[in-house]
Amino acid sequence: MPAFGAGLTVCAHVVRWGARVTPLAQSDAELPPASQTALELVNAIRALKAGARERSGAGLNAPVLAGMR
Amino acid sequence: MTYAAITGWGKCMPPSVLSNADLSTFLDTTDDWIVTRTGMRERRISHVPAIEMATVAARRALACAGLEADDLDLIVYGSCSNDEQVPNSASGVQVSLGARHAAAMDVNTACTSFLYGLSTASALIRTGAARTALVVGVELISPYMDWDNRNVAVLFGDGCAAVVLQATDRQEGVLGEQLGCNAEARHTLRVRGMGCAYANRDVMFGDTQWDFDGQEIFRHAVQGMTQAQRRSAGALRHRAGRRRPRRAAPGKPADHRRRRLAHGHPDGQGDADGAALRQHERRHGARRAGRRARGRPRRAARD
Repeated sequence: MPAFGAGLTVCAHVVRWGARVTPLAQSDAELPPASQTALELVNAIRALKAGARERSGAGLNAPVLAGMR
Repeated sequence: MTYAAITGWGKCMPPSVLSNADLSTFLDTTDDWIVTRTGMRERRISHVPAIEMATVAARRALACAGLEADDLDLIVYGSCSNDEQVPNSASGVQVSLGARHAAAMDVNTACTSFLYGLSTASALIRTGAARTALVVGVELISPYMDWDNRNVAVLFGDGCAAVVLQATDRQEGVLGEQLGCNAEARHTLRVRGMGCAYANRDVMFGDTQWDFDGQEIFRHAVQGMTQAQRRSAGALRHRAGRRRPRRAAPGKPADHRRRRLAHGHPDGQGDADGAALRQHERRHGARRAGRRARGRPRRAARD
């Protein structure tokens, strides 16, 4: 019985699996190889955000949004 | 009766692994701090768009089911981190797969998007609106992450899973379910910067600020999941027409009924439902008693 939830939405299922529990076939689908490590990917995202933080701050905390429920 | 059997399954995890040690290079944290509080040692970071991850997971799920993309007549894409808002992401998976005969819709309930999608697709199969469905759950949260906030940066990663559902007469698939939403807790998790409310406010898209009350979220999640599990099991019992064995209770049957109302439904409904039932009994108890009293002589007369 899988269930999952966070602070807001929750969901639980009672699932009955069929007799077959193995794949009928395998796909050869793959992602292309990554040329950067995870840390390099994250640091690239951080670098893009670094210059924008001060500018974005006001919009992210605008009064009309602060009152949004 | 028609059911929606799970006949195919697949996943797609990006190859790049972000370890706790990696996080500690730019956050005030350690492997021990993260593992102690979350149990997490690593998460994946994607180098491709979410739709590409979803397509790989979908192809694996279709192969597992022994189906072709053209066999699909419904695609449900569960996510809160869509590559684009318009067009919808499900149509992106559809065109990547070549699923020419499918309807395509997105579902966003944040963490539970996949399970809500599973419920939606199963229900559409049960009604006959669809025969073969693909349900995808995918998140590409790394571009939206506030990487300076260790309370959230350590918790999330990128990845995707998919299942194929097929109509069947066999009693398989989702047999009981419970969906819920504690809307009063909206303030406990909000990602500022994701959505139209932040447009034209000089906010760089992707720059976010997370309102995240971890302890409240944990409390709501544990309570909500427990309650949802009990209710979904109760719904299954109800659907199957089985009665829960009753414990021997002293006193008259009416006493047993009153005790049920006072403590909630035996199938696991919570205090809120118990309160509603108690209120209902206060308002209508006399009328029900009157009906019972009037009913007995008629039955006696027929006998």
